[in-house]
Order: sequence, then C-alpha cells, then structure tokens
Amino acid sequence: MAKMIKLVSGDGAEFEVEEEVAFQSKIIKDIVADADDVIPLPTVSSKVLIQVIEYCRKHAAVNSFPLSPSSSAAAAASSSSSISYSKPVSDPALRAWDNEFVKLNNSSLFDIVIAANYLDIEELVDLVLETVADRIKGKQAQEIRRQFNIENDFTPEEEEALRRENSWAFQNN
Amino acid sequence: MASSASTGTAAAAAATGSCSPFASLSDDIVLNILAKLEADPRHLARLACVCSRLSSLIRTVCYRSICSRSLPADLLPSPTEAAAAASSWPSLYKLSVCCPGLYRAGVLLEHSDFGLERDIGPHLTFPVGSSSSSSSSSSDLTNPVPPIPSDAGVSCWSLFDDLYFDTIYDPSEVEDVSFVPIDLPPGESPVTVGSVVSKWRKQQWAGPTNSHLASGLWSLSREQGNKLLASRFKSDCLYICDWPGCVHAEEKRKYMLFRGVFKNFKRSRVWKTIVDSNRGKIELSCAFCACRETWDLHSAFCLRRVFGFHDDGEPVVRAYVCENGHVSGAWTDRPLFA
Repeated sequence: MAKMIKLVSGDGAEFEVEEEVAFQSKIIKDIVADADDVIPLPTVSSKVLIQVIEYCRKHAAVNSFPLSPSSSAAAAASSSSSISYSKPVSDPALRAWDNEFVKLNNSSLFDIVIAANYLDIEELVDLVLETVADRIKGKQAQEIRRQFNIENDFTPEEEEALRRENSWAFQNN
Repeated sequence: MASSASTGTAAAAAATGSCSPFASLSDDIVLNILAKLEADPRHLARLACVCSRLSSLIRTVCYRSICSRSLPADLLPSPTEAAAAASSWPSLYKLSVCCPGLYRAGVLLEHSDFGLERDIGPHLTFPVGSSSSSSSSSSDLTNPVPPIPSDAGVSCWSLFDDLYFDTIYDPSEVEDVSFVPIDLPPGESPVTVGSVVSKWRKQQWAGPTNSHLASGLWSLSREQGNKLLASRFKSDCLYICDWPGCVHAEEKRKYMLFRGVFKNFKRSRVWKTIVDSNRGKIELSCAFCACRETWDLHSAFCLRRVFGFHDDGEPVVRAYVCENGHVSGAWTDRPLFA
C-alpha cells in the first residue's frame, strides 16, 4: 500500500496523493521527513494545486517506470548535472504530454510557475519558463505588451531613446 | 491568489501594471525567463523596450551577466563606474552583439572626406628625406614602425603584399608623411576643422546599411585592436571584434565591418592626439551611445600607415571613434599589386 500524503490548498480543499507524486516537490519531501503527513499550502489555490498534482503524478509515473534504458540514463545523467536549469525531458511521449499540459493562458501559467517555484518542482518551473520564453521569442515590443497585457509606462522621450538604442534588434532576418 | 513571499513583487505590481500577469511574478522568476532568451541577443533588446520594469532588469542585471561571461574582464566597468553611468552595461552589450552597419561604419560617406590624404598622395610615392614638422613626434621617430604582422589574422594580406613591402617599405618615410603640414588651395575650408556636414555617396547598396545583429563571434579582443592602430599607440587598449567581423558583400567590394571600444579612452594616446591636433568631428553619430559626432581615426593618422587606398580613393580601412571611445569601422580587401 503506497504511503499517502495529504495536501491542503489555500481555500481549504484536501488532496491525498501518493508519496512519490508529492515528492516531486523537494519542499514537501523535506517537510515529510520531519514526520508530518498533512501539509498545508496556504498560498496555492485548489485550482492550481490540481494542475500541479496532475503534472507530478505524470512525472512520478515516468520516473518510476522509465520506458527505455536511454531515458532513464538520461534522467540520471541530468539529475547529477551541476546545471541548475534546463534539464530537457528525454522521453518524447512525456515531452508531448508536457506540451499539451502548458497549453494554458498566461495567467494560469504564471499561477503554476509561482506554485511550482514555491514547492521547488524544478522540472515544472523550467517547463513553464521555457513556454513563456517561447511566447516572447520573435515578437516586437508592442506584440509582447499585447500578449501579456503589459502597460507601456515609458515617457515619450524614454521610449524614443530606447527605440534609437535598440532598433538594430527589430529586424527578424 | 495570494502574492508570493518575494519582496520584488509589490514594486513589480506597481511598475508592470496590476492587470498584467507579469506583475505577479517575482524578479527571480522574471530573471529566469530572461535567462532563457540569451541565445539570440535581439530578444532582450526588444524586451527592454516593453516596460520600465523589464528595461531595468535587462539593462542592469541581464546585460551585466552576459557581458561578464562574454567579454574580457579588463573591459568590464567597476561597480562605481557602472553606477555612475547607467549606459555602461547596455553600451557594452550592444558593442558585443551589434554591427554598426555600413552607415555608422562610415562606408556611406563620400571619399572626399579623405581628401586630405589625397592631397598628399599615397604614402608609397612620397619622396624620402622631405622636410617634416615632426617636433611633436620626435620621440616616435626613434621607434620604427614594426614590420607587417605575419600572422594570418588579417586575411586580406597576400604574398604579393609581403614581397612588395620587403622591397619598398621604409619606416622613416611613413613617419615623415604623418606630420607634413598641408597647404590647401585658397577658399577651400579644411575638412578637419570644426564639425563638417558629411557628404553621402550616391549609390545603391545591396545589403542593410543600418545597425543590425552582428554575424560572427559576439566578443571583443585586444589582439584585434592592436592590428588596427599605428605603432605609437600600442599602449592604448583598443578592443575590437574578431576578424572578419560582420561581412557585407557589396557590388564593388566587400566590407568587413567591425566595432570596438577603447578602455580608459580619455587617458589614451589616441585621445591626446585628437585633442592636440584640434581635429574636427564628423556628423556621424556613434552606433553605441548618444554621441552625435565622431572623429575619423584614419585622417587623424591613428591607424597603421600601411593601409592605403583603392583606385577609386576609398580607404582600405576606416574607423570612427566617439568621445566615449566607441569605435565603428570597416576593413576592405587590400588591392593586389599586379
């Protein structure tokens, strides 16, 4: 019988998850080591926690039962690497699942990355950061503002100075 | 959704606009996103134009991080220097990745701007032992111009050049030419006094003339700078990008555009030369800072004398420096002597 951990969201909803799923979060892993099986997460809403648990469940399953020797070897190699970000997911099926998972609007994505950052789920943080970066690449400043609903808070003089300084970067060749 | 514990968020909300999801992200997370955009230098430059929060993070943190990894440690400003000039890191970043383009490298200027040189004639035909007003350079005549570097870094050299200069090249000739006073025809104002409105060549250009992302390595080295300056400036620290720089193939010839910067420019010999000779500036603005005018290093006799001219009067190499020591210029292939 798998050991169960209870996670409690900020709005009071309770979620029981297998230990190996919860342990995708390094924070939870550390807390549970102190013999606490009920973990309140006041800063994480239930909506976001459900999504995070879904990710953790999928990745726990793959990490426990690697589909091929090469993917487990790659996973072992990347986990011992000293680079703290950008560990590519080696399994193509898992990558495809991840790509579907992040098909969310920016607000939802940001909620997830904040929670994943708080819970120290490195691969999920990295996945969302990559996704956001991809949404920025190739776009001009005005498009980026529109995409992320960012206000242009420059004075006309500041904006002109920045345009002069950076116009070299506006071409897409 | 409660805000995260990071202190960077409250200010972020105010700066980014509370309705933007970006406002909810701490500076740490935003910087991690920005770190994923380093591969193509244009991404961060565009993002710096989006809003003041991103601009501040990029120009102070990201550019500093990137330049610290890609540029020689010697070139990096000290914390006090960087604090004093907000443009330190942005200028360095731009120098490392941005080609000034044909326009800012001065290629579009009319050759007559080098007319001063043409009045003297090419240095190779100047008679030996002519009178010279070399009082300001007496110390230099004891230092002969060193032989042409034989390393293959400058690919425009050929065997013909070495043979030619082995027989003709005479350091003393070169030194004399540098300081002969010029007598201009009456009524013609000297190009070098005061600011001159630049005259532009009327021709079609095949490639982009504006600044753009540089091809080639995104770094600078002192070794390249040494190849450009005349020997008496060898104590000056000029860093320029690797050969061949950003190559622009035009109809008539190829231009290898380069960019660079003097370390401690105001303490350099080049600067002293420019100031002492009271050279006028050209209305060619710097590609890397807000300076609207630059000095022509070729007509200020700061470049190696062996670089001559093409048949049509275009200099083999040209370079322009601004008051902050930023350099833009262009090499061309040396004409072969048949």
